[in-house]
Amino acid sequence: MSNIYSGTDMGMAGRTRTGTGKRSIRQALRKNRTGWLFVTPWLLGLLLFYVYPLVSSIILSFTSYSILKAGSFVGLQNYRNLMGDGVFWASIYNTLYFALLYVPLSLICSLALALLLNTGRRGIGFYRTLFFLPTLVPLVAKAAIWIWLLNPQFGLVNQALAAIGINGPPWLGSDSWSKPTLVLMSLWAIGQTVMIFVAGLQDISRDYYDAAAVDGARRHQTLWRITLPLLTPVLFYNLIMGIIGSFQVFALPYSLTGGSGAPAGSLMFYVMYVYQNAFLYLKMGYASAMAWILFALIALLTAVIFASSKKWVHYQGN
Amino acid sequence: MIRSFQTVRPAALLSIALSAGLLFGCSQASETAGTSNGSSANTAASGSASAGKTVTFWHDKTGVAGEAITAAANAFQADHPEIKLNVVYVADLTVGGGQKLLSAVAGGTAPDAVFFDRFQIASWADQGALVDVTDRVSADKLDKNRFYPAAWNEVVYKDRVYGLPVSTDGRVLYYNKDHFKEAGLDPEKPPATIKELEEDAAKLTVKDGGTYKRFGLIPWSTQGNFYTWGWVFGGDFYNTETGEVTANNPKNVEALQWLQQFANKYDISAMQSLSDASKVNPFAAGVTSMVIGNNLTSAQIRDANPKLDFGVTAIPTPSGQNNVTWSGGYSVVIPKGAKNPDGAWELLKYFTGDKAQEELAKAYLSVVHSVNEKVFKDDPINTRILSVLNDARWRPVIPQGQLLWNELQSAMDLAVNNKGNPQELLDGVTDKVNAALKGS
Repeated sequence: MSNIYSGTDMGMAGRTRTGTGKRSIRQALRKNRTGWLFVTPWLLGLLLFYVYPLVSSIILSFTSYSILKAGSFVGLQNYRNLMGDGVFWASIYNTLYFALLYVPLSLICSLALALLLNTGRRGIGFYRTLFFLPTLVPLVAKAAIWIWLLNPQFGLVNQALAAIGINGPPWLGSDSWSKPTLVLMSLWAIGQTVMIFVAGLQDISRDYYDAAAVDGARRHQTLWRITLPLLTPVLFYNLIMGIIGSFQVFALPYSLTGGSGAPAGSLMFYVMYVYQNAFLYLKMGYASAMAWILFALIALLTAVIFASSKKWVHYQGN
Repeated sequence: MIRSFQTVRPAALLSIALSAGLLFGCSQASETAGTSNGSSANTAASGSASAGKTVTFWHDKTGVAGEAITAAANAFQADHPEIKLNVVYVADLTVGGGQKLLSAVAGGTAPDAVFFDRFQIASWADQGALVDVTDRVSADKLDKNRFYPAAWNEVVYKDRVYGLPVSTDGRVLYYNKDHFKEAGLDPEKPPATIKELEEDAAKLTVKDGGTYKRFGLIPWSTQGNFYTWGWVFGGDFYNTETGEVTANNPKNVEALQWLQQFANKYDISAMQSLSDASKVNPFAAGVTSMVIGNNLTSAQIRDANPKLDFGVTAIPTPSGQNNVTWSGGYSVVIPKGAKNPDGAWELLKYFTGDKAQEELAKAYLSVVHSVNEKVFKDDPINTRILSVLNDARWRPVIPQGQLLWNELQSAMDLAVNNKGNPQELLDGVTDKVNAALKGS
């Protein structure tokens, strides 16, 4: 189907059929003056707090700005230095590792939970609250709780494992276990994703199920043939948000390791290294360059997923 | 929301990625920093109305330290009624980057005086962010011999003075006397050489089946950072003649080799989890029998485990002689853009005086010999620490101090996890920090 957008390019997905498309921009502006007036406060905020810092940071990424000193123009030097920075590459590896493990797991777990929470049994509201609660725990507090729970020697988790004869892993104590442990901790707070899935499930029209029931479809058939395909838009949204979120993992590993990324640098994530350069080493120019590389990475991945979405995302009613 | 994806346009795509991908600065950073003090920081930044008379003083300490600073400030206020002192608690001022101070200085709304980690003086002075007080020191005939050399030398960068030292610390070996008796060791004869330290640690370690119940020593725990071990082995980190970092000094390499083989003797992951990762002082919890600690460690032990019977001794060295320790600590500085540097200078001087020093000694060690002698005369633990303080080392006063610190800690972390060989790791640190020094 073809969409013809109106002349105002404000990133809104609203469509107006202009029919001829011959009207000049000025006419369109005049017609929309009230609209523009209404969005002015929001636009100003956007320009001041989003566009200006964005433009600044790309300019800063070509300088040796240090927050305290303006620094000088260094061209692509920051980017060149990054290419030879071992910690930079290690942080990319750690971040990708985390994302590859966390995103699929979080989608599977939250989808499974959402299906359970959507059964409509009595007292389901209580369970919904229960699964959503962990997301309300501040990340730093969460880190403190998990450090205690997962202490290999006197943590409750390993003591429980020992009680059933399993010698528990060292969790955050070893570099091979530290990232999986972080994934585990993050999975504890997927309530947000679960709720979005639940909303998506409730959005699916009952008609499909009624029709399927008439045709004698079994439960697993309706799940695979109706529920999942019609849930793909929500899955798509959660996938993109999950990737963006996991590329920016920061607060939990930062508070777990006091910013050091120990053991053996296995918890040094990309944004932690950005932060370290900006505020500890006073290399804001370098950090800005890193931020833009991250942006390019996320934009690229998002674009790829968007492009693939035509193949696997199905919308109701089309 | 979800339906609109079917007609999504490139601009929307971009804006999603943009807003999500780039603007983590504010939201993410605020998650870690305690943001409860935003309001007080705001009030502090607007003290220009009565400038000239008001001195705004920022610190980021709570608990005993916060009380000691407040008491010293109150004493100043009582002695200087002509100055209105405005003491503001600002969380995370110097730890982890001190963004609030950074933005205040960059934005021209700096306070007049700041309780500041001496360790950061060189990099801030190098950035032109601190007021040079050299002339004020000579005009007021302040005698630098009043202070421990390690404390004074940390406020001097390129022969100029950028603040006054107000507190200090020192590192020693703490050992658990009950564990010593249990293991058949003499609690009055702590180890003196590295060899004895190793042997005692082995005897004190308790293994139950496959798991360690107790470690005699986790060398890198608490205050056992790489500076401690490098100096203990007779190494050094900086050549003042050439202005170059010497992290790969042969003695430092020896120290790192020793740490690596020590780690290999035991189960590294169990050690790691018992040391700093557990956020409790493992020595106070009784899961290690010896630990490198400083003067703050004894307070932590008394808080967590008042019954623990412990002793302190100088950190063992390879030869058993030439004991060495190192000191860090705080200063009070005047940031660039302070509206009332004259008033601030009065505060700086006062904080090094006997009265304020006695208050600060309730939380730290004083930077003044006579004050420590008076305050700690009945405190055997701190007296032992003070006895090695006169020739304590101090970290190199260089603009890349933070980078060197992080790189050394990271090298040690990698070495004890067998992720590299000590010589190569320290060569890497040396090259990286020297390159950064040339660049800055």
